[in-house]
Amino acid sequence: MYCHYAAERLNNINVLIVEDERALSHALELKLQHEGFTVTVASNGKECLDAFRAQQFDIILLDLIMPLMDGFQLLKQLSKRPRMPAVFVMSSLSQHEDEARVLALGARKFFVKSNTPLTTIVDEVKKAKVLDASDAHAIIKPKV
Amino acid sequence: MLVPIDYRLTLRWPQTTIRVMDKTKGGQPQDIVTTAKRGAERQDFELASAISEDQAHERNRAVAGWTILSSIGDAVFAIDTSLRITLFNPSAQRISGFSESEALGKRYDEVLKFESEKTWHVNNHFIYEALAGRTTIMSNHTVLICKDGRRIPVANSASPINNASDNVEGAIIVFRDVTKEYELDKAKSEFVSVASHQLRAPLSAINWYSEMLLNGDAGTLTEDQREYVTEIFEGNQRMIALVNALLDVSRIEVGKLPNLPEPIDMAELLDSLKKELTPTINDKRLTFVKDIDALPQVTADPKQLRMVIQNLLSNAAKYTPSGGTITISLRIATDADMAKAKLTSTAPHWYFSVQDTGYGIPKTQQSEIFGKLFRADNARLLDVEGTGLGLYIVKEIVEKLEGRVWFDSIESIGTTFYIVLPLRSREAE
Repeated sequence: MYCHYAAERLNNINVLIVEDERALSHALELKLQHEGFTVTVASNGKECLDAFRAQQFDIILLDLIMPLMDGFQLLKQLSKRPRMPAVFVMSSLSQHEDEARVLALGARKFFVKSNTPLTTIVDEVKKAKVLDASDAHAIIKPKV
Repeated sequence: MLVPIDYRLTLRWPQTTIRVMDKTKGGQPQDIVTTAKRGAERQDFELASAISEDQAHERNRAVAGWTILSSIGDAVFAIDTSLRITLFNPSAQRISGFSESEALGKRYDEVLKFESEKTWHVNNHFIYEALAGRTTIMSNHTVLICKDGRRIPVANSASPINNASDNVEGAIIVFRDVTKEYELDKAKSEFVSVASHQLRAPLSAINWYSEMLLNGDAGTLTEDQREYVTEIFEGNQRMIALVNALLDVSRIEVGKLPNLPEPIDMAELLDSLKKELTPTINDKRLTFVKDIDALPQVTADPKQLRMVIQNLLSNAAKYTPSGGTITISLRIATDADMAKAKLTSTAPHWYFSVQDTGYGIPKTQQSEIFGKLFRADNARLLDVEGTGLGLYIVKEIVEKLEGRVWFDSIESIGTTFYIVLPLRSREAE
């Protein structure tokens, strides 16, 4: 079945949600698991870096205002890594400067949480997967 | 109080007659007849008795007037038609830092520099209006540059001074330091901004979970369940719209709305805005007419421009009953458009109008529609959703971009909103 096949493939994709609002991370977690992704939740930047010690993540959904280490600081840390995961920022901030700042730090996209349906975020995550697969393919493809 | 007088003394011992004529009033000469005292070196005369009661009254009024102007907490200055300062009260001296002698007789704009806070352009408009015979209340966001270079926010008004034959012989300008009000306003706006961000987290939770329920993520809903959850979802969407509008307002008010002009594809902008309105247009079977010959090449901040046009279009759709028509016009502004907009700039501008066949704005409320949180009575009664912030946002943005927004409206017939904006808006300063 198509669904089963898709779920199986997405199972290999590790998504990390970094969000301190439990209700919001839970909704995303349910939705992404339903789509077949393997999902881990961290509630601030520090927990995110700890999680990276144990394993690699392909995609990060990142909140900005969080205790201990906020999204901006975390992005700076992540951008120093040899392979930066695809980061989607979802925040309650909506100022132009905030968006410009996270994009400059290497985030792929910026969503204002309250203005974005859950399905839009999930669709972006799915699209990112397809994109990355073709990117990887392009890199691996030997030069003729 | 010193009064210039002409006088003539007639000494005829033992009587002295003094003929006094008040030069200030040009009144009838008055005689004071008195008996000189033998051996007196000086003698005081009661001058008041030398002038008529009318003149005394007139003089007392002048003295009282000057005393009031001197004691008043607001700055007052007057100019003649050649813009020279003829009066500069102590509060004007205190607020501006210039003394009376530094001000009197000088052109007012050599002493007092009024600027628009947002654009830093010289603001003389209100003074010229007054000299043209019209009383004007200064728009918000005027700053005065003081003698020491400080820029302080002021609120002011200017009125013509008419002489007896009703010709304008100068203008009188009243202004006050509004730093405190201004700071309060800023604090209030910052509060709104912080509070709105805090509101967004619970709104996102309601949004996402009701979306999941409606998508059947927790199982199929019964008809009743779907109806109730839809109400929650839609109510929440209204709340999100309100929070977004409040944030826009607070950003505009603290001057934090970025202005990054770039060339705009007007056709694309209008199409995408129309697409946003498609559900309403289809629901109400509205006709959407575009009256556009050639698209003007507009350079503006895309987000600000979108906010302006989006608000005007969504208002037209919201406040027009089923089967109505919305007509938009877009062109390079003609001289006639510029005159209607009361803009004197010679730079090229563009013109945009949105005409609807809607409920109209009640005549008695037309002066209030650009106010914050304004909702027209008929709109409230008709239960049309709205935040009351849209037109306030439109006006603030349009004026910041040195354009003009105005409207015509007849109740039950319809409303037309017009905007005229520079083709190239200035870079943010």
